[in-house]
Amino acid sequence: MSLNGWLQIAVFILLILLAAKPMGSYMTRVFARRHTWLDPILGPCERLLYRVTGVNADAEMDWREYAGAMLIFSAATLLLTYAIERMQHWLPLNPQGLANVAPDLALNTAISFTTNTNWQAYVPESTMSYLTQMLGLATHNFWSAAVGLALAIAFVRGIARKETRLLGNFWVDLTRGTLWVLLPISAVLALALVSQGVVQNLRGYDTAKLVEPQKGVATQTIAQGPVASQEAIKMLGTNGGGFFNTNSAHPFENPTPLSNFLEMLAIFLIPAGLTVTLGQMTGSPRHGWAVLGAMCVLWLAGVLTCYWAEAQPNPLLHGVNQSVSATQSGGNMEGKETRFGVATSALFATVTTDASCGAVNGMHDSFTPLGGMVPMVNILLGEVVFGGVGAGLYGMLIFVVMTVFIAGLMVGRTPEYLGKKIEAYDVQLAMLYLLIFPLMILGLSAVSVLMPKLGLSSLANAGPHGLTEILYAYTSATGNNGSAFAGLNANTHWYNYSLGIAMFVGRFLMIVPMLAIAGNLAGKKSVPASAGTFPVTTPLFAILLTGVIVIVGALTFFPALTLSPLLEHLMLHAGKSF
Amino acid sequence: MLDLLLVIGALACFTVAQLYVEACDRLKAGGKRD
Repeated sequence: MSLNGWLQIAVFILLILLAAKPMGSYMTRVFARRHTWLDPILGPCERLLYRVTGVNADAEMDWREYAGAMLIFSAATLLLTYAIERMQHWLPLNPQGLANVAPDLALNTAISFTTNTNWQAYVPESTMSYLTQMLGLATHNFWSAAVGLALAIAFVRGIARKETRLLGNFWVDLTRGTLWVLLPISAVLALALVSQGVVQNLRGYDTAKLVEPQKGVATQTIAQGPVASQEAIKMLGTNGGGFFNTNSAHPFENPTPLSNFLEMLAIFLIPAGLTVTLGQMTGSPRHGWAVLGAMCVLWLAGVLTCYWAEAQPNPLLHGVNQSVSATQSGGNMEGKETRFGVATSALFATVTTDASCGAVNGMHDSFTPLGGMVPMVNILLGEVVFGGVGAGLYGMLIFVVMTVFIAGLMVGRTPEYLGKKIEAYDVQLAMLYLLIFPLMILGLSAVSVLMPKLGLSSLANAGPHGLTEILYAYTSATGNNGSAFAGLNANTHWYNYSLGIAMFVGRFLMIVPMLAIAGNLAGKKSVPASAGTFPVTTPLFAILLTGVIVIVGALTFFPALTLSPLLEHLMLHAGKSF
Repeated sequence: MLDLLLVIGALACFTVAQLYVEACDRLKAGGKRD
């Protein structure tokens, strides 16, 4: 570990904390339909969209209507992407003449991008045409993030409002999230990335002559494409689907340490800001800061563990100098880019899995067992440590409901959350939300392991490492993260369909109970705080919230983790690798 | 043919999700009776 590494990590979180308030305040204005400086440009676009689509922007929805609109929108855009993938060979902007995408892979990809997962069971530069990347996939990067934003705002309205059944208008929230939040920041970020060397063009791939031909190979194909525009929203929308197969490790996606830093900042920018939005919309800014504090504690625990683990020398490389020096990064550099080194690779892995992004700048499969466990644990905690755009906040608020419920049980009072009594129905739905997640991950992983022809035939590694690869795949899919541990060829019928189901369930069947809680909370009266009310604005609340998240995650997944990365760690130090 | 089946399957999943919305709503009525 080096001072340089610590400084980069410290500067990163400092900038996120500084950006949270302006970003959160701006989003509060956007979703409250108050004036912003972008109104003169975007206002006419918004009104035109409503006129063309026939949306009545002033008509609000109850939770069922809100959920219905979200499902219809998601179904329509999923089918659009599927159709584009299946017909790309006959459509324009395909200079490489790439074939139509196979049905199972096309469906898997359409679900993946609709659910903000961006799991990629394909090699983008040899599978997807420019049209598919731009119209089928990049659009979903905006839409799925805007859907997450809208849902989080609906949940916050449910907490903030009293004795109403209305949560807002899904179409308005979707439109404003896209136009006012995602598009402007993406445009600026894309230009910043271009300045660092990220490519943005529509021409065919280049062919370069190798200076030193290798085993009869004398040329190298260098893929091109409209990368910067997709890269910006890929990070900002916590999508993570790379334009290239190696994602943010590719020099055309992430060429410099500065572009790497900007990409990490973009991942946390909106999730951090949303905690401030929560505080402002509920009239309790300190509650927003308490939630942000719990997120920061969990983030710090993850990055410290990952950085420490990756900075350790490989115990199997006897007699090799693996210490930090002026000429080498030290520690475990396998699968990492030399331009990023150990510290920012560990930071990137932590940030991308805390936030349901799923982009990678190093290969998680090559991390040490404990270092690789951190990204998986981050997802297993429910993607609530900052979390995906919107999804992180509403996931965290489910844990908040559970925390005040447990605190209420401790003191023998009906639990209250910002003046709303938490009753049986709310807790039943919160439990439903929390149980669906492990059911999909552990259930589908178990089926894959028990059916070798389906689950093990495309696995590259045996033993605990192989189990980690399978477990990580279903964790990433159900958590809508999308990062791959690698080592597992997931482009098989079994994995395409089963991971598709995991992504669908992990998104939509968790959103429904969340919205039902929001609708139920909105209808309640507000009870004034009394001496017995458990405050949700204090460090004690943040500690309790952190404890509930860790305990739920540990109790649910610890047995599986002992059989995968923890066992692998012990065996590595006993001299055996997989 | 497979395309048609997969599209129908995807729409069926969204239909299940919509039924799930109704089920969550009915759970509330059940909760109140208890």
